[in-house]
Amino acid sequence: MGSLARANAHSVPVVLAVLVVCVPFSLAASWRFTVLRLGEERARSLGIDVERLRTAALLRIGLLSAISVAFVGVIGFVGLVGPHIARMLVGEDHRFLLPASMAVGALVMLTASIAAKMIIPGVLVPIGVVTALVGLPVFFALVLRRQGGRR
Amino acid sequence: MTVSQDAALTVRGLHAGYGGRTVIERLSLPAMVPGRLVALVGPNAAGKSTLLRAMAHLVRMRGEIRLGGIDLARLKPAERAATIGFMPQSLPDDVSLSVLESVIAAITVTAGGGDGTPVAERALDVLEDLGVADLASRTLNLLSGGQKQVVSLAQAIACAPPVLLLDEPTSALDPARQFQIMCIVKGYAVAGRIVVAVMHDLALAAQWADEIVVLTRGRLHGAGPPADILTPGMLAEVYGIAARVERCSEGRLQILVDGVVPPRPIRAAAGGQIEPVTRREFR
Repeated sequence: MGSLARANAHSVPVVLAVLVVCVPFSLAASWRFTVLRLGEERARSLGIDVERLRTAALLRIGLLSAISVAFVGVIGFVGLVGPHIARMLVGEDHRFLLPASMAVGALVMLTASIAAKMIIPGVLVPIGVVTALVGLPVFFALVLRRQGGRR
Repeated sequence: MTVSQDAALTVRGLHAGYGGRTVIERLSLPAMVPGRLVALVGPNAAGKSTLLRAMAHLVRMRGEIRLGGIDLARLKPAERAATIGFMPQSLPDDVSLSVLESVIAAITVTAGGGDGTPVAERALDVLEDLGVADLASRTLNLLSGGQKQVVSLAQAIACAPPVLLLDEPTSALDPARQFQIMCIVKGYAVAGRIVVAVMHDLALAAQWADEIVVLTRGRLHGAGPPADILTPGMLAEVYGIAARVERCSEGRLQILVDGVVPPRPIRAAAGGQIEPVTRREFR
């Protein structure tokens, strides 16, 4: 399980550099992501290269995940819970959803970090355990709701 | 890129399909001219939607589709998007975007068509024209099927493309909305644009279309004005139904289905030779 105990000041510039490279591209693509939510055919008929949009987004996601995992280890469910909470808060206009997801994700991490220090006094519970405790129920709720909608 | 006012849409030697499956082979269509509403009809799996998607370059295709002197395959995606509006059969479920946001997004990503008016205002105008301005702040996942269809139409015509392709625009609408939407679509054509709509409802096609194009099994069966095309012979050959076509009091065509006809030899569209229809082909 990952833990924030591994993080240190030296990792900050590296993470920052990757963020500076990735985030502007994501924000620039926000209108296209919004339209992609209206359906792939709709997006393509409006002139969006869907394959390129997806590939570029996956590359950025891969880079960002890799850098986080490299410094603090595997901390699951943050990427799942954050965007879903953000979506409930601001809807799916990606101009707002992308920054909101970042903010909510950070907030989830901070809250989990505080909880990790408080659950057992004197013991630092790995933060991955805390996020899993919160994330798993959310994950199942999402899966069940999606199946309910399909029926 | 400029499209002249009277440029016609022509399809020649078109092959189209999905993956390894070819749905349409060597299809050529009569020119589709601005100002006229063209209805694409045919039984299920005739290739109507595939043809429409091919015209919008959404499926794998080969052949020639031209708008006047422009080969649409040569256009950049953004230029094509500004030229061709496409309305898919359905919008996805579970999208928490407001109706207005969705139309704004559609206008914003499509290059061109800008005339200085703020995008939000243009989007609202489109919704007002379609009579759904009251839904503007409603999110898409709370709309009924019919409302979604109207919103989807709004997204397609928001940039006023010279060519509009509609995949069953009224399939989920009640009669009043159906009438309203067909009025708008017809008006869009009358304003000098090319409109092609896949239609399942033959009565609706007879009422609204200026031209009807009949497809069957990926081939052209016939094309022309509704009165020439909608005949008992065509309905028996293409749809396998025994039907009467009658003019009612105001001269409007009415199709009365009396039953199904057993499979029988049909005229092959390409060579004119007789092609026996066997049970195997219906599997």
